[in-house]
Amino acid sequence: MKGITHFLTGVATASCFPLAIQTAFADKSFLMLYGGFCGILPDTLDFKFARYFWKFDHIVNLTEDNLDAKLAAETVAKAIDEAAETGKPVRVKLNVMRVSTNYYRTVTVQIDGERKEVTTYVGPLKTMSHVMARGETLPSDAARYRSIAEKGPIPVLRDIAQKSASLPGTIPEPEIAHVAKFKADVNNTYYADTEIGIFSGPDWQFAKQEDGRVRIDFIPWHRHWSHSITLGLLLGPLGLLLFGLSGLLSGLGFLNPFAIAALFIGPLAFWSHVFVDQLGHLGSNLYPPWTHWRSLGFKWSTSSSAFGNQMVNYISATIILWNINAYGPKAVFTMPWAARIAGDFGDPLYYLVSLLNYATVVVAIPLLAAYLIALVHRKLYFAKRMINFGEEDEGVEDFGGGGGDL
Amino acid sequence: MATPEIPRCCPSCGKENPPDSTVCHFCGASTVERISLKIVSLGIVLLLAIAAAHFYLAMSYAPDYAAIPSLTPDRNFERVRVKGRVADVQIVREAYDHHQVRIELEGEGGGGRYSDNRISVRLEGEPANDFLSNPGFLNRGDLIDVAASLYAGDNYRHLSLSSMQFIRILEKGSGAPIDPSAASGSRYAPAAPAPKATVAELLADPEKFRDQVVIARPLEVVEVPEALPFFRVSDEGKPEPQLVVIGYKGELPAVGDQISVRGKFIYYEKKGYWEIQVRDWDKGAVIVLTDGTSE
Amino acid sequence: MDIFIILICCLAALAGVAIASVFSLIPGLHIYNVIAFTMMIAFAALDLFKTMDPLITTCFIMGLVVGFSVLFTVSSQFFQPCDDSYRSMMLPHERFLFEGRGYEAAMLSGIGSMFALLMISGLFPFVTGAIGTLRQLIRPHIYWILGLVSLFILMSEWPKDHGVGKTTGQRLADAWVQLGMGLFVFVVSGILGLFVFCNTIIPVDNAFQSLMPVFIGLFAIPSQLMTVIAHARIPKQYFAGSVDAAPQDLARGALTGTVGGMFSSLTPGLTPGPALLMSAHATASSGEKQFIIGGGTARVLYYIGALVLFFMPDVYMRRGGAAINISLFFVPETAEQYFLISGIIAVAGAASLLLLGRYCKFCANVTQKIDFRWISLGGMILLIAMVWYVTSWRGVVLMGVATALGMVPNFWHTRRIPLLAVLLVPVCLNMAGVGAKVASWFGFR
Repeated sequence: MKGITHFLTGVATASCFPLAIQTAFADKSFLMLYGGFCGILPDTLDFKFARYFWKFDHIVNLTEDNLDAKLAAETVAKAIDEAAETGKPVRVKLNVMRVSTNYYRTVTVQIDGERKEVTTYVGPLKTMSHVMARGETLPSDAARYRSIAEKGPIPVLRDIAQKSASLPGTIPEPEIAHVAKFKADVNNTYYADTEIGIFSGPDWQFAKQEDGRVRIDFIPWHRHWSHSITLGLLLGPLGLLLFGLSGLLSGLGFLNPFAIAALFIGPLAFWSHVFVDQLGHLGSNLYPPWTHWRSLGFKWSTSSSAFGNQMVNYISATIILWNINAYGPKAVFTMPWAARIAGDFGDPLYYLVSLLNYATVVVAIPLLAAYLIALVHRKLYFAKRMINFGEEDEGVEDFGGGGGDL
Repeated sequence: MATPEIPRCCPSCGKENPPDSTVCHFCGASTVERISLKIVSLGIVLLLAIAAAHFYLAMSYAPDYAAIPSLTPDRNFERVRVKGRVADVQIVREAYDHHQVRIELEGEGGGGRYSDNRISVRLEGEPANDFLSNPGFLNRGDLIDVAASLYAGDNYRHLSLSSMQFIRILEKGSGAPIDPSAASGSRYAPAAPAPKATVAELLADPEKFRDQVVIARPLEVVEVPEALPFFRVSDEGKPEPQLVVIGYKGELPAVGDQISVRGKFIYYEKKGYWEIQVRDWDKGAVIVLTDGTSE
Repeated sequence: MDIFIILICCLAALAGVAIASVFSLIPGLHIYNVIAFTMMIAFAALDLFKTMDPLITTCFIMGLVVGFSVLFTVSSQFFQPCDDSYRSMMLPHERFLFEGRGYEAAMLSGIGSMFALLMISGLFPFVTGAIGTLRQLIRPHIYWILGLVSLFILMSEWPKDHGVGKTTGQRLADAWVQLGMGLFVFVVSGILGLFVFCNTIIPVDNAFQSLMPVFIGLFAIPSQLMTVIAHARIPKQYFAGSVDAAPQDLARGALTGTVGGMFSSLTPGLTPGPALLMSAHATASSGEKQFIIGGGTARVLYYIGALVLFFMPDVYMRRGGAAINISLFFVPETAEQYFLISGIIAVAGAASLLLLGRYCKFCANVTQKIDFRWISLGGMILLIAMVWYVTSWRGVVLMGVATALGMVPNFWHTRRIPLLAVLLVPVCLNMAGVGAKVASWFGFR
């Protein structure tokens, strides 16, 4: 999911602690910030630190003067077999080629486990928004594999390259593409293909599983210990320390209520990130050092899916607003279903009836409406934009298309 | 489905493309999926229609007047709009232009001086000064509309007006015009018992004067910083001790002027010194003394 | 309300739009500077203004703000092309300009503005209760909301390097030069903000303008300096009759802009930039067109929406420079005035949109006749003169310091958004009640 989505779930988690809300009326503590900080922290750790410590066995640098599709395809295919033969993990990175401030040369790498082929296709120049928009027009995996069975991989990648948004007339002529074969059986945990685009080129880890197959992990440095339940536990003591020291400075003492709240907010906000990430394709390594593989996500959505992100953000925002209202000294709004019950948000029955009312009217109904709109929109409009390979009635698989899971 | 006509020239950048290009080969814009700029004209028409509807609503707006008898203590601090006739106007003059204006307002239907249907509308400070500088603005018997805050408790009830703009005359009455300078109801308030002291006296026992309005004289202006909202004074002829005078909005005195200052003697916690704070409406707080001047 | 007053108010608003359209030609000039200037003139001619109904002056300012918020980005879009050797990424409208599509970009932004105008004048009157509730809900929480925005600005900047260094150290250093400079800019801007909030070094008459030299220094002058030294050529612009967008781009762009615009207008201390950054992420905005449309919507909602909250029954929120200036002479009171103001916004908005097309064409033609560097140079001299006139030499010194800081993002390829710590940090700390304490650590008190 996007950074802000995790940030908001972290804040929403913190807001469930009455003290985090009530502090706004008296002591003005920054517990909510700690929630947001812990919510976004896993990605910060990965993208600002972990990725730079990762070591690769093979790095392929493709440049505008040397668009060697064969080198890229063969390196990846060999790495898969190398992992199967040696039993040791092999890591490969392909570096991006930025042509100018605006344009990037794109290269698509498709690893097909059924056909045991790695196909590379040198595509057009793209801007950042072209790269971002690619996910919205990708065909479903089922359609892609059907088409590959009929036409072979290169024509399919050619189709995708030609039909997705890009700077026109920049696909190299003659075509630069290559298919390399590998021998090992593989377990591909990610999408069918990867486009080398903006920021940093893609990287993989190929590692032999217990069943003998080679597991393919995309961006292998991402979502390991940084996205684990285990690391989350450390954020409790960190919160205790931070808010305890600030309590010492302001005369509240070390074991003040804020420090104790932070002891719980830290791990829970961190875990909210881990939980939300499980909704996508990539999953994460949940219990290092006891576990080593990333879990597989629920695949309900993709992390770049607009709809998925919007929905999670909407839910977070409604949770925050509910808590602000319910935990404040005087409620700003009350819910009609609870009008006949005596009391206020301090009374369990009143609270529950109000919450049910809120969850129905403010959360569930708008979400359902948005879902239906998205569904209709997708049927009427989105399907038209998806690249099809000349077949009728493409299957619609998810709301995000095959975007990058970052 | 009919294929939409594909233009040869890109509708975005104007350059000519090969036939049947759905995407421009120069700028990448779609040549078929587009929205006409007529949408802006449509927006303009919609905005004008919305404006007409708003103006109609503004013209036909009927204010929700509160009946004067309904202004009871349980509505304390409520902002209300009241309609009534001016029964009387009293002007309470204080030193240094701090005047009060009290408009006695009687609800429609009358009721006499002590009835529930009568309330006092009070103006203080700037609104009072604005009122007084507008002689002839109100007549007794004028029907007016007032928007003000209600202050009502056990033994008091009045409306407080924050600006003159909240008095609107709905109908001119036939009563005698009120001349603020010689209004019959005009009277001087008893002079506030402000103690007089010198800077030395104030600073010798500051707690005695803490938070009181004092009159300090005769003083000499020691420093008037250009960019700051205060100036420094000392007792006449003595460079020390000094006091800061803050908050005066009138024309600043010059260094060396002999002056009298009226204001609250307070301790400025942040920087840890005593000062005289002048209320910003108090235009007579600082008086430059010439020889033989008395207050 | 009398029809005569309404007509006079409309004329005043249209005069405001006309003046805004002239001032909008100066790239980098901010609407609040124009209003402050107008107020200085108004106070100088106080006797004249005292005889006028304050509603008329209010409508004039409303016209200024509406005209400005729709038109003011046009000149910077056309007259400030970017030089990509100083940038790691080109903004969408900058790329459009180089493709001869500056007009299309400005009109896309105009369509976004149009949505916001329709929303403010057509939809807001029906949701005043909800807006009032929302404002009341978040009011005690502004300090941590601003804290969250600051934290997000800091934590959401991802390294733009491509990770091609040979060693871990090299790769880390490549990434952290950019991240570190972003952090540096944030911290120093925050300290500068605390200094400005604690020390009024501007002549007391214009003390309410104390942020003006800082903002001009941080944002306007660096943009103009970069333009003056830019090596770029603006191609001839094409005037399209349609825009490259699908209905979903309009809808999603407007959604992003609405969330960002409402967020910034209800949160004191927050400007549309960071609010739009957060809302674009939160609504998963996609593509350049949605970004441009969202920008138009957010700006108008921020400037006009924040101002209309001041007149809105149930809200009456004084937020932003324009509302503060109006509150000096006018206190809104009735729904009647709110109807009038909403109508005035619609009229001024319609006039601004009517002007927009011709205005863009004019600016596009100017780029072919006058070198954009001269325009920026002229604008820069004008701004410096204005700062000098309003805030004296002290303001100019402050502006110089801010300019030095504002240049940092250009040379280290970081975002400009951390510069807004100049506002976010002091407002957040003051609202949390620790502003004075933190300022005293730096010796500002």
